[in-house]
Amino acid sequence: MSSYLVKRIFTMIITILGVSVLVFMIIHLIPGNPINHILGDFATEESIRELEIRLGLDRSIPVQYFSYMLNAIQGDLGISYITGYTVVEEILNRIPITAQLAFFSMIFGSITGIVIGVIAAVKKNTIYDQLAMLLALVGISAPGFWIALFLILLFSYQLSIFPISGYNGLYSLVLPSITLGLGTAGSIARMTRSSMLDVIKQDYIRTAKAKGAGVYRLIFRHSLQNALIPVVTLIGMQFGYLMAGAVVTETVFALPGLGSLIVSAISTRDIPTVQGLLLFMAAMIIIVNFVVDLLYTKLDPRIQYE
Amino acid sequence: MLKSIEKNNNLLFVDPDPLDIKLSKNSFLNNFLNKIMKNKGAIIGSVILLFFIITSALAPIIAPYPVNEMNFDDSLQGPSLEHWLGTDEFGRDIWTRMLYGGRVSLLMGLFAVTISGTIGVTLGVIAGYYRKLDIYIMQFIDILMTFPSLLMAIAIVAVLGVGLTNAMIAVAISAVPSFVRVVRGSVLSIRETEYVEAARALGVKNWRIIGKHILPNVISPIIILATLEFGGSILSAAALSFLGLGAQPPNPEWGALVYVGKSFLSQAWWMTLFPGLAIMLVVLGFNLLGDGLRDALDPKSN
Amino acid sequence: MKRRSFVFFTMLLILALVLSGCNWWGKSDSNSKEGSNREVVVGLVSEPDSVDIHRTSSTGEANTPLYDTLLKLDNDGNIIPNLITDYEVVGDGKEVIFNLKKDAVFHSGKPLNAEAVKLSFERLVASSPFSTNAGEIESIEVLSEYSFKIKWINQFAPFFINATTPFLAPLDVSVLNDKGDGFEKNPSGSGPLKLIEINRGDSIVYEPYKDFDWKGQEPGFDSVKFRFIPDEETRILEFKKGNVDVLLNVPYQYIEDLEKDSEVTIKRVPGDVLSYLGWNNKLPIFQDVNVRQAIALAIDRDSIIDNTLNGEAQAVFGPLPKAAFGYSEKIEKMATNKYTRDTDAAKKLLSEAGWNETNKDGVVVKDGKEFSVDLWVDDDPANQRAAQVIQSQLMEIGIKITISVKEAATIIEQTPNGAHEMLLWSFGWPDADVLNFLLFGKDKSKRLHYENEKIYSILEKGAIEMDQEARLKLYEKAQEMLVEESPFVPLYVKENITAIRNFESFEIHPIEGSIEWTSVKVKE
Repeated sequence: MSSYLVKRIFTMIITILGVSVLVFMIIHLIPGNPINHILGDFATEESIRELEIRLGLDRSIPVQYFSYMLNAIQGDLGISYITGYTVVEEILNRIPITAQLAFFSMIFGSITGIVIGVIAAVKKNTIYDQLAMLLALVGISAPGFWIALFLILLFSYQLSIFPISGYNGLYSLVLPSITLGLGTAGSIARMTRSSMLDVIKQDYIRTAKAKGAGVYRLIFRHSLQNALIPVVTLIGMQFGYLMAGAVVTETVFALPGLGSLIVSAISTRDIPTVQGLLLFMAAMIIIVNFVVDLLYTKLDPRIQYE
Repeated sequence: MLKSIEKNNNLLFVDPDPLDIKLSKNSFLNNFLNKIMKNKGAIIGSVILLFFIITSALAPIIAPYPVNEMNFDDSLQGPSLEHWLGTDEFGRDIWTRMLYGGRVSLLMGLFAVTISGTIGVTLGVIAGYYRKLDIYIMQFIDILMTFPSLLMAIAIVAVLGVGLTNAMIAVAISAVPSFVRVVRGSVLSIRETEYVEAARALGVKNWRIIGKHILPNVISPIIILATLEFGGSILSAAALSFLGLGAQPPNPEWGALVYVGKSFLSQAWWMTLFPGLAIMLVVLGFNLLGDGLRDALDPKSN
Repeated sequence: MKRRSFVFFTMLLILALVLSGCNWWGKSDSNSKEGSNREVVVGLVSEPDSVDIHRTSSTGEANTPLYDTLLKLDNDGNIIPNLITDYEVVGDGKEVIFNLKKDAVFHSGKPLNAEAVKLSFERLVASSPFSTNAGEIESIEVLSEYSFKIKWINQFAPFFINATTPFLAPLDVSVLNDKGDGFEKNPSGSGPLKLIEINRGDSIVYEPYKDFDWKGQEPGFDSVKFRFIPDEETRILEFKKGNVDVLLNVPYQYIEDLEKDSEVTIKRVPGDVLSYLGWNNKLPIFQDVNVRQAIALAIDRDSIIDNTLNGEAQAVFGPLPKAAFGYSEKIEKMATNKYTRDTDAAKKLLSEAGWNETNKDGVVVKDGKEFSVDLWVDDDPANQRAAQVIQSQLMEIGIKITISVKEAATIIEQTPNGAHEMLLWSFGWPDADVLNFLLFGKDKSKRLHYENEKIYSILEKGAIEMDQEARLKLYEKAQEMLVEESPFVPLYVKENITAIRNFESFEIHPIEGSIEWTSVKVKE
């Protein structure tokens, strides 16, 4: 176990380093000179030179990379070219919204998904099963931005139940969480169904059945608990999907989170912010997957890593 | 199914009797068609897809109006007998624009899957077959996998610039990792089989083994994944267009139609509803078909 | 098993709680408007990148009320005193002595005196991308507590009108840290609004600054919240719902709809921003003046205005908008006569230029090449619609346009290098010097890349001519040449449309187009 842990942490660090190189390369491929953008139309040669030195852009790319990473390790991701805030400040300002959004859409997605999946598994091969699975597939197939527009039109504008946009407490997150959670719900429903069917087939369930355990008791006591193990992994994997979905969802609902920040940073060519955000999001995804992996071994005593 | 192909390849390798191969191929096809025809989802999915493919292909013939011609007197009309799905802000017929937009959306999906499939399969086969390169390729793929595909596509568009072609490239690149993973996994399992070992022992060239024994055996997971990714690519491309990063007006790509319609949402809901519905149906179609193919082609599902 | 999953979900919950902070059920300053809190909520499109006027590239309602300007424009566009009470041009016009209003105070409580203005100018020159607006300053000398002298390297005629813009407004340098940064955290100007808080990505909140000159009255509101709602549809829904009191830049397609609501007032102010269809004049395809004139003749401004801007714009044919110093009625008439839409004349000009064949798609062809150009437009929905109408209008004379939507940042960044072919863009500046420093000056033609020595020299003379009448004459000459040469097609000036609800009074400056906060009074 501990040697596995060491190995796992090692590959995690390698991956994060690789990601940082990749992000750095992508960012430096972005056409256009940030200097032009910052100084706008009225740049003089002098001011360009000065700014280059101030931003460290006069140094070679490897040097820039190493000094960037050295600072990043110390929690300094640079200063936004545009706003004058540090990138870390910008991220800390906005992370609560994205974290809450991810959390609640995960809750919504898991609960809806598990309920639908259980119904489908219990009523296997009936019309309920087929409807439930069709519904799950619709959740995966529907464009979130499109669903969001009609949720706003119906629930916020016509019925005035939820706020239209912006962030004003958790109430504002209901519609965005539903929008973002739909895809997750679909995936989890499908996973729950198939893993429950797998478990039901297994011997100990048959034994329990033979012993005369009630069907519902059986479902919840034995099969669901075991069936949830792969679902938990899926939840971990969905984290990345949620980060990407947040970009679209936050834009539609005008939520000041990380997703809308990256869109606006890209459109203003705010390189340090884009770079810091990509790095931060990737690191979060890697770490969450790592934690889920560990939890997975804790959850299922049958799984052992050598 | 894998078993039947394995048998088939064994035959091919040990005793290349053309008649035998034909027979077993036929039975494989029959078996496959039998399973597919029994799968309601796959049928529904195929019907949906056929509908959109045919209508898009016939767009110039069946479209009731010119696609880009403006007619300001008819702007923002609701659905009616003249305009089944209403008109947009320039009086253009939404149904017509959706027909033409279907061509763009479907072709985008096709290109994205072809590009990502080609790159992904190549890398996957190399990683799975040449074990020395495996660790490097997979470490690189792991790094790419860290970025959710839409996020990666957005970053790539930031590099390449906004536009239809660039969005397509971005979507294609972001779909590469899943192809690599799936293909590598399949190649690994086949690589260890006896007949491949035997072929290697006999000194058959690597590229010949790959071409004759490995590729035919990984074709079904590739088909399944390609079908699912087709839908996924259309969805990602639409999302990019919706963010204003993909297809640009007046291009009637479905995501771009939703993007334009959004500005008129509470006045002209039809501009947003129908293109979004089309995206959903097509993606649903691909997912249903992909699931059906998996059930029919996957030996575990027996 | 049970214990494990319990542990797992608790951990998740704790994680989420920690990440979420403690902001569970909303902020205390939520949108409630009970009691004496007369909050004004202004909905606008984009968040300014910074409130620091020396740093920002996006000045607008949300950051300029922090600043009071040195001079001001009255409702007819005349320059009147504000922080500067009077000035005197000395010597050969390279030196000007300014006297400041006495007892003005920054938001920080520091006095706004000659020393403070000098420090502000020095920071402007050192670090602002817009430092050219102050001219090439040689030195600033403090003469007494409230008077100072600026010396320029050359005469700089546009200074006085530039001093009416917030770009030159004094900023309280004393709040900055030793690096000269940190203004965002503790901004201090001398304008009508004083900052309370900035919620990045969401809103900026101000309160009225009590030491501002409120014209003898009490401020008619208690706080102002600028909410940034990029999405057009969402912004309009928020206003319709009543969550937003002032809606700036009302999307054109909704004006009619809002006018039906008796509680809503629509304020229209002619804008000072001229939209134009431009192109990279260095490209071979645009070398022939016949081609340039043909494009101008193909454009039907009224059709664009009626069908994409809901009629809420004024067609402009001459190179300058009415609001700018240097605008001439005579030039406008001349240009209107010359370029009112005439597709036959346009086609004739094109064929004179050698584009006399037409291929099967109806595109004109010369030497086997079709006339096809790429048009850049920013992501504003109304501009995108206008681009499509222009596309169909140019198609009528056989010019094929493809539309590329670019972020504004990309356009600003790449057009100076000439990466574009055509673009739909705009400029807004109160002085004709804009023709020099942005549009057609030598090595300054950022978007249009137009080269014409004669025009260069006239524009350069205009920048240093201190006599107003002579200046006007120079610009008239320059504009006459521009109309003839047609290096771009001026299109229209959009009206600034603002929708308001629940105000006793609410005025917008007719020339500057900004909210007059001294006039704003919320209905009780």
